[in-house]
Amino acid sequence: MNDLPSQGRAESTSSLWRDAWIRLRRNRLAVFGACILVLMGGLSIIAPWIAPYGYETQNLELKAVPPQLSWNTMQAVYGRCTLEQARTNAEQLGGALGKIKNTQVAAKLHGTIDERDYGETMWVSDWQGAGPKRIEISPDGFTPLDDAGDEATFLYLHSRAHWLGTDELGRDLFTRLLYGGRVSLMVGLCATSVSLTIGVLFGAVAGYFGGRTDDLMMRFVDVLYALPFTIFVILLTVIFERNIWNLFLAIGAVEWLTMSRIVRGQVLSLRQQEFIEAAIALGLPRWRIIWRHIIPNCLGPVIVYTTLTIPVVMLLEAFLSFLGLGVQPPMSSWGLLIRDGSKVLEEFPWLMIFPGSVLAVTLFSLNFLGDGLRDALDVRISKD
Amino acid sequence: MWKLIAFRLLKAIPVLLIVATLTFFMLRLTKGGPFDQEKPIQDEAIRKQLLAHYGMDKPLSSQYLDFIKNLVQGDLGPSFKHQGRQVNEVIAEAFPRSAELGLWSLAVAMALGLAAGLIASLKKNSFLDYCPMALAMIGICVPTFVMGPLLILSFSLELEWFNASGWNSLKDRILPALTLGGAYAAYIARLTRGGMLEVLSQDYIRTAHAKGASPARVILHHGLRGGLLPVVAFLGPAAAGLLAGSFVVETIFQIPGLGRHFVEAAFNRDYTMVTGTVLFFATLIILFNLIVDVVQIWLNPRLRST
Repeated sequence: MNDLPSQGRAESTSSLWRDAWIRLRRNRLAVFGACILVLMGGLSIIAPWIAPYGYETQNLELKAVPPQLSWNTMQAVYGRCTLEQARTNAEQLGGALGKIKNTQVAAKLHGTIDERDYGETMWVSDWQGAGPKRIEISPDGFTPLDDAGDEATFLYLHSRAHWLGTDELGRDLFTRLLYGGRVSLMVGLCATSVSLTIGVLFGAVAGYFGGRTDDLMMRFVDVLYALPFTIFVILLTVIFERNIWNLFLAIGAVEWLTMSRIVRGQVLSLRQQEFIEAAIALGLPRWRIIWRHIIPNCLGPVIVYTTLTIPVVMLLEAFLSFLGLGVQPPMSSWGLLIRDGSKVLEEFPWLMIFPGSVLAVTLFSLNFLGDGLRDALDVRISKD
Repeated sequence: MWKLIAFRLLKAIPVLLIVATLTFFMLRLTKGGPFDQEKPIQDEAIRKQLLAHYGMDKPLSSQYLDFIKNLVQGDLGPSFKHQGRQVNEVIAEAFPRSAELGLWSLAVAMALGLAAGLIASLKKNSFLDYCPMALAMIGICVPTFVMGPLLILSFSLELEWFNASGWNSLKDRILPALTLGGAYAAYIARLTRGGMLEVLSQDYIRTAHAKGASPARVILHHGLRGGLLPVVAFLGPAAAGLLAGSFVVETIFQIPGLGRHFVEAAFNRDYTMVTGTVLFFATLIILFNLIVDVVQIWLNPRLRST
């Protein structure tokens, strides 16, 4: 739109939103929910940079490790290697070169080194992470050697911490949760956008044109309501190629009905109000009425319902992944992690509990925020 | 009333026809058929015979006509995977289990949900309000496929009170029903609270109090009738949800119900089985919605005129 709104109008429209914003900020649960969501979204976006491992990196030496906060001993890997080889070997094994603080203590603590190793050399990095350097093992502890360019007999590894443990294939759960969040949140957003677009357009057209068009379109929605939709999503995902875009479309195509009803109802009631009549009487062009009067007045319910659709959509994605119809491994999504976790619940409960809690907390936050927005934007409630 | 029911039942026919047609063509127009799995059938003669047996050698249009003709007679055809069995038989065998699970869950949902919602609405803004409502929020946000395994972990594996899976004794019904019913109890609790709060603030409730009706009578007789309207409206879609949710619960607790049959059939491209189950579910949903509408009219006389 090219027209610049005059000053007065801009103020009058923004004050409605400012009021809503103030009411929303007073609602502690909603603010809390919003913060959690921002945190989750932020973590998911920067996942590739902060994730300690790759989402499909397996470390078969560390299968199903329980959650642990500190670095721990992994292994001493034998074989003569240069510094470069030591680095790449360490990376490939999902660990880092072992850190040695106090040589004597370290030797005692990590029982992987014993008398047989006296006289051998190995690659380690020191406690601050500097290095790696070459040291010689002797009965007195470790003696640093200067010539860093030479080969050493073995490298001494620590695994990096697995804060939430690893799964049966030795993949880091924290990393997979981060990447899973990307998928789950993205499905939430994208599938909701699909349903939002279809729903708003359909509802607005039906409501605005009214009469027979409206009748026909709403009968269509009625018929669709009677379809067993969960079943259709399952059917859609089974028969079409299983990729993430089809998942968005399948879910979005199913979740737009209520949105279209809400928008249609809103538009219908708006059309009969005096200010719209006044606008028509003033001779405003149709697009201007729709753009400046109808759409802003529909926005409240649409925003609220969108916020409440996202958790439904995310749940549907998780549900499909749980049935094995969603995202395919080795990619991860929260639903997939829950499914994998629930299979080994007895032995490795953390694999189920962490993804389950993360999903639940996210859904909590979305619901709180949605409820908060509904209260903040609902004119009826603000009069109380 | 009868006119409404008859009208709605008539309207269900085109809906079911659309469902049947959609499913029929969606299945057949995508790649992969029921005989394309693992070991492809090498012998051309056997393959031809097999296709002929299921009528799949005919052109698609006549297949469709046959399908509709059988459907009108209530015959869903032979299953592709369960050899020598009719889809009708498989459904007739599996559905009672799913229905029983659904009924138990519904009972759990109604009992817990109504009680929690009523208490919360009567003790508004007190501990007895916040506590059930917080629980309800948890019930909504913890999906069945998290709740189920958690219940198994705590009650079957740790405490060893129940079996982790199976469908033999009455005790085996408890955990699945709690899992499936719990989520719906949460919704019902919230709806009951909201509905009751709105009704209890209305004039006719004050009148009832003023004419000396006992508080219990005011709540149960005058209040509940209006306060339960949102709950009743919710029960239609909820019935559908109970069926859909049962996929997960039947998978978790290994109950040989209809939900598992449906998912397996969809994976196996068991055309007749998929179409059969979808139609069966659709019929159920339409029936439930009809029942809900009738109950709503019975509860709210104002709807009768329309």
